[in-house]
Amino acid sequence: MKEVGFSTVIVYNDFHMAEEKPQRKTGQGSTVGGHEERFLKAFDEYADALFRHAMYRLSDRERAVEIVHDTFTKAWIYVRGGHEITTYKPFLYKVLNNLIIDEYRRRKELSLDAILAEEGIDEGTFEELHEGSVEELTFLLDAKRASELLSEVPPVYREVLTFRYVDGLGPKEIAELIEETENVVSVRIHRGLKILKDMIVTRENEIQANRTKKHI
Amino acid sequence: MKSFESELKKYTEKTRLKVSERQEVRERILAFMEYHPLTKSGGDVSMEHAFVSEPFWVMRLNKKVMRYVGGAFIFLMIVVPFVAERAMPGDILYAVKTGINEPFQSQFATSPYEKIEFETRLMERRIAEARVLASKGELTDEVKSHIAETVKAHSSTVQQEIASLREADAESAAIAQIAFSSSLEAQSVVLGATSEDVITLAMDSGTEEVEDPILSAVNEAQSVASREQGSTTPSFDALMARIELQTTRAYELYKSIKASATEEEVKDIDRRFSDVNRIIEESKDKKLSDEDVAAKDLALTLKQVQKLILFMTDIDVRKNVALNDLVPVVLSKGERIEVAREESRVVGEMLREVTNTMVDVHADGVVEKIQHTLAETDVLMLKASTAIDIQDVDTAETSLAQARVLALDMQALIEQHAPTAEEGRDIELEEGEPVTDSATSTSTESPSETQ
Repeated sequence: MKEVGFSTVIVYNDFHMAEEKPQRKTGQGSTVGGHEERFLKAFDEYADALFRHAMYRLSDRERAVEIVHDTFTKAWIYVRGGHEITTYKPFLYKVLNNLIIDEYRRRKELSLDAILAEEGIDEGTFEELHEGSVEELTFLLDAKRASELLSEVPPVYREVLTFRYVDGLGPKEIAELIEETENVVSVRIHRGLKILKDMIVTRENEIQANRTKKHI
Repeated sequence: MKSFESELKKYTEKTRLKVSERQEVRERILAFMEYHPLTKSGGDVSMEHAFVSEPFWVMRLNKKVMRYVGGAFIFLMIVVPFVAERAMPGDILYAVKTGINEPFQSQFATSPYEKIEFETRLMERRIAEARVLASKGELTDEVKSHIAETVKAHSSTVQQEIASLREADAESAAIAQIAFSSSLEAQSVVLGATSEDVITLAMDSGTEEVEDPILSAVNEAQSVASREQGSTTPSFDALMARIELQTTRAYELYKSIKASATEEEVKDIDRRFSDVNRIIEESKDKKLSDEDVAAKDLALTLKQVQKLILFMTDIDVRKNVALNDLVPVVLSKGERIEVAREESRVVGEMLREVTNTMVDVHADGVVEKIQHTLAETDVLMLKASTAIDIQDVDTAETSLAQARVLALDMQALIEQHAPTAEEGRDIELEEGEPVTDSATSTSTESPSETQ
């Protein structure tokens, strides 16, 4: 008989997953189907939203499609590892966000302005929020223009603005996803909107100037 | 007016996957899922299958299994070895003690000297086990033979280790040999005392006396050790360093047992410590004139200290053996002078008795022989007396020992040739003299009675 030396790999799955126990113990045969069914349902439900988010963050349709695919394959690997995903939405957004960050790093896409903007970011104060409330800013903004210019906002603000206005997440949810405080998220949203407003004003001024030029 | 948020959402929602893109991504994900299926329990089946021919296994353990495995691990790795330490030959766990615990402990003995010490301890341990079993009446011939074999094996290992150490460090090897010899001597004394009890019991019960195989094994090892030790004596300084170490250990042991020891034991141990300290001081003085002699004295002292340690560490030894049998008192010079004076007095008495009783001896040549021997003893006694006066203990002891031997010889000769009571009466009747009680009593009195 062939002797094979061996070492043992011990994978201890249940340590942080106490809530999974009842599912595992009951109806094991249907659990596989259950996992697959929930996973595919999550795809049908969130694929478009994730793609949209990726599109606004990356401004690259092809990469956005790939990143959505990668998000779901990573989620499946996690499920295969014996883990239970109780709520898919935050989990998928978290994976997607990490992949986008990786993509930024990989592509070294950040412009000099964006880097400077990011480096110069302080965490902000609540007082800053009173300089012109988010409501006031949004009241002045043209949503159509904003949607067009969102992809030009520096990434650090684009991230929170996309989560807030494209995905409709609250500051608390965003704070959990990007692992920052709610205060930081609120300040970034406020600054992002101001940048967006300035961009819209600049763009309108440019258009106005062009029209006047044509008239003359 | 519609809010910015809902307006923006309306515009952004137009951004979505095309049907073809969505279909393609879905199919790719389904293919991925098919290629990486879930197990029935939701776990990863392909991982286990993928590595089935690889030289490792993947195990999945849940909390409950981990608890059982952890419990079993603690039981096997801690409880069992701990309990096994008390196991005796014949117990189930004895194999764990000798097969797992001791080889494991031996890993901590790194230097050759430590290995020798460890093997010596194992040998002592086996003998101690035999004594415990003997005290319970459970020491069968089979166990005895087994232990004797183990003692031989340990002894042989020690000798091999000493031989290899000798090549690298002859001095350490010589010290190790001294330590091993002293251990064997001590074990021999202890086993001898135990065997005497067994022999006495055997004689009382009328069974045939059989030599103890363990004692034989120890004696055999002892003779090998003595032969190996030969005339090699370590240097004075090396011996002194080793004695320092051992006496420190001995004092620590003494402190720990002092409360439980009897008053007599405490007194005896105190005496041994004072002997050791005195010999060390004397050796230091002796070193100035003759270092070799001083080193030999220290080698003997090292043996004494090691035996003293054994006496204090092994409660069983303390029960069975008197300290004086194991570590005899070493008299000081003053004490030896006193003993020599007393011996001189006793031998003088014996010689006077010889002079008194020799008048009864009429055999040809015997009287002359006794007179010649008496002259010889007078010289020896004079020599001893002078030696005592000038504090030359060795000469005094030698002279007195020789004088005593001669005195005993003369007493035996007189006893052999002195006439019996009836012979004496016949002689007196022939000479026509009356027989007196005193004459009879004098002639029949033995030298020892006179003494």
